[in-house]
Amino acid sequence: MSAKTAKWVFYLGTLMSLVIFLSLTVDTHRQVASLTHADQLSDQVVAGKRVWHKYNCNDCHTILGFGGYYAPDMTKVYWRRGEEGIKAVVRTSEKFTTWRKMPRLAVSEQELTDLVAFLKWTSGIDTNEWPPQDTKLRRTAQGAVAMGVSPGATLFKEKGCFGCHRLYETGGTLGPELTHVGGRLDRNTIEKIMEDPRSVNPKAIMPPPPLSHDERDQLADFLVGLK
Amino acid sequence: LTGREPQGQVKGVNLLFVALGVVIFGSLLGEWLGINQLFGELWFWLGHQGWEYLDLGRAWQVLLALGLAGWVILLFRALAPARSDPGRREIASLFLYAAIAIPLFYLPAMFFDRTAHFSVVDTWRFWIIHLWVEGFFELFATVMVAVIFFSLGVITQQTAARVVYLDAILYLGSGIVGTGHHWYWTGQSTVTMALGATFSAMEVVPLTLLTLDAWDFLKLTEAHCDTCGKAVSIPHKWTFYFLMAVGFWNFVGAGVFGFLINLPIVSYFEVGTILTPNHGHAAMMGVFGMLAVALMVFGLRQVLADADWARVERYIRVSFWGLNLGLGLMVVTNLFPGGVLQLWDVLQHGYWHARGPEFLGGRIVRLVEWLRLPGDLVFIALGVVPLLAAMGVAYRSVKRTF
Repeated sequence: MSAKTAKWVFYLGTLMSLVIFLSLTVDTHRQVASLTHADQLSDQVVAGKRVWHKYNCNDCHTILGFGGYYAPDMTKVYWRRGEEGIKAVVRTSEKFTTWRKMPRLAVSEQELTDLVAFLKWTSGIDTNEWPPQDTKLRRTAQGAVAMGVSPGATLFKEKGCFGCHRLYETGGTLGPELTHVGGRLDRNTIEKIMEDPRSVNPKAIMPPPPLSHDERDQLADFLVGLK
Repeated sequence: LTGREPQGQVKGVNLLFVALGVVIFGSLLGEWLGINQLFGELWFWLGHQGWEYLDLGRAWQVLLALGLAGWVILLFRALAPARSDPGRREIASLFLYAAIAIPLFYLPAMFFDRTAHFSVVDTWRFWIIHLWVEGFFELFATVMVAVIFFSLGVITQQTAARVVYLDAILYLGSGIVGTGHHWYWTGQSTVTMALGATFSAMEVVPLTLLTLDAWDFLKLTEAHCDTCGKAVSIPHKWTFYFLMAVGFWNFVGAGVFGFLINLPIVSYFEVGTILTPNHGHAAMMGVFGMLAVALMVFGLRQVLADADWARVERYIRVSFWGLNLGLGLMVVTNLFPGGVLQLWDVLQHGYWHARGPEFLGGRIVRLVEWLRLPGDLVFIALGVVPLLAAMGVAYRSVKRTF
C-alpha cells in the first residue's frame, strides 16, 4: 500500500469509526434512563451515593465491576444480603471478615439507610445479567414468593439471613447451615436465638436480627419446618 | 526535527515541568485530604471525585488540560520551521495532529458533574481510559517512534508517513468502537455490546500485523544510516532496545492479554479478576513505560559526550534487563496464574465467592500473592534504582561540561 492510499484509508476509516462511536454514545444517553430506572433516583439514593463516596467504599469494593479488587462486588449486594444484611456488615464488619478485615467505618444510621437505598437502586440497573450467578439469587427469592411459600421464607431472604447462613446450596458460611435446623433445634430455642443469640450460645457473634414480634413468629414457623 | 530550538523554549519547558509537579503533588494531596473529609462542599473540585482512574478533583483536571494545551503550544513552536519545509512537512504535521488529539480528547473527562448518573459517568470515563489512553496515546507513541527513526535517517519521510498511517488504521479502526468492550455490564444499551464486541474481535488483525511489524522493527535496528554509513544501533543501541521492549510488550500485554479478556463471553466471567490488571500492568508499563524510558535514554545519549556516555551506559544496561525481567516475573509468577485461579473460581462458585475471603484466603492464592515480591524486587532494585543512578551520573557529567 502506498503512503497516499494508506492516508485515505486512515482518514475515511477513522471518520467512519468516529461516527459509529458517537452514535453509540448518543444511543446510550437516550436509553440509559430506562435501563437504569433513573425515575427511581430519589434524594435518598443520591445521598446514599454520597455515602458510598464519603467512606471510599470503591477503594476495596467494585461496583459495576469497577473499583478495588480486594472485596466483593456491590452491584447486586442488595439481592444477596438484603437491607438488614448490608447494615449488619457495615455496623460490625469485623465479624463478617476473616483475615482480610473490612474496617469499622463509623457510618451513622441515617447514612446507612441512605447507602442501602443507593445499593437497592444499583441492583436494579440492567447489567445484561452480570455478575455471574447473582441473577440466580434474585430468581430464587422472586420464585419463592411467586410460588406462595411462607412469609417466613421471604423474611429469611429479606432480612439478610443468607449473608451468613446456608439453605441447601445458597448462602454464606459464617454462621451454621440451617438446611435441617428444624431437626436440631426446637421452636423455643430458635425463637430465643432470634431474640438474643447469646442467651443460647454465649460466644455467638450473630447480631440480634431486627424483627417485629409477628415477623419473629413467621420466621420461626419457617425454620422449624426445615427438617 | 528542526535541529534547533525557538527562543524561550527552554523556559517554557521548565515552566511546564514545574506545572506538572504542581498538578501531580497537588492532586495527590487533594485526594488524600478529600478522603479525610477536609474539603466540605469543595470535595469535587479539590479532593477526590470518587471515580477510579479519574480520582483527581475537577480543578486539577482543568489545570492538567491547560498544561496539555501548553505542551501542544510548545510543540507547535518547535515544529513550525519543519512544517514550512516540504521534505519534513508531512511527518511534522502528523506529529502535531497526534499531539493535538491528546488535550482535545482529554476534555470528555469533564463532561459530567458531581451529581451525574453512574452509568453516564462510566460512558465518559471510558472515553478517557480507553479512547484517550489506548487510542490516542498509542497513535502519539507510533508517530513518536517514526519521528525518531526519521530523524536518525533510518527511514525516509514516505516510509515514516506510511508506517504511521497503517498503524493508525489498526489502532483507531478497531480501537475507537472497541471502547465498547468496557461497557458490557454497566447499564448500557445492547447495541453497544454487539458493536463493541465485533470491533474488539477485529483486534486479532492488528495483533497479527503487530507481530510482523515487530519483526520489521528488529531488522530496522540493524539498519545503517543512509547518510553516514554507520550502523545506527551503535550510538543509540539502548534506545532501540527499549523500543524493541515496547514492541514486545505491545504484543504480549496489550495484544495477547488484552484480546484474551475483551470478548463478552470471557469478560462476563473475567471482569474484576486479576486477569484484568494482568493485561493492564503489562500494557501500561510495557508500552508507555518502556517508551518513556526509551525517550529518556535517547535524550541522555544526545546530551552526553562518548566518554561520559560509557559510564552512564553501564547503568542503563542493567536497568533494561531489570525492568523487563521484573515486569515479566510479575506477570508470569503472580498476575497471570492468580487471574486464572480466580477465573476458575468464578466459573465454579460465582463472582461474589471469587472476590470474597473464601477464595482470597486460600493457601495457593496467598502463595501466588506473595510471589509478587521477587518480581517487584527485581523491578525496583535492578530496574528503577540503576535508572535513577544513570540519571544522577548523567546530570553530573552535563553540569561539568556546561
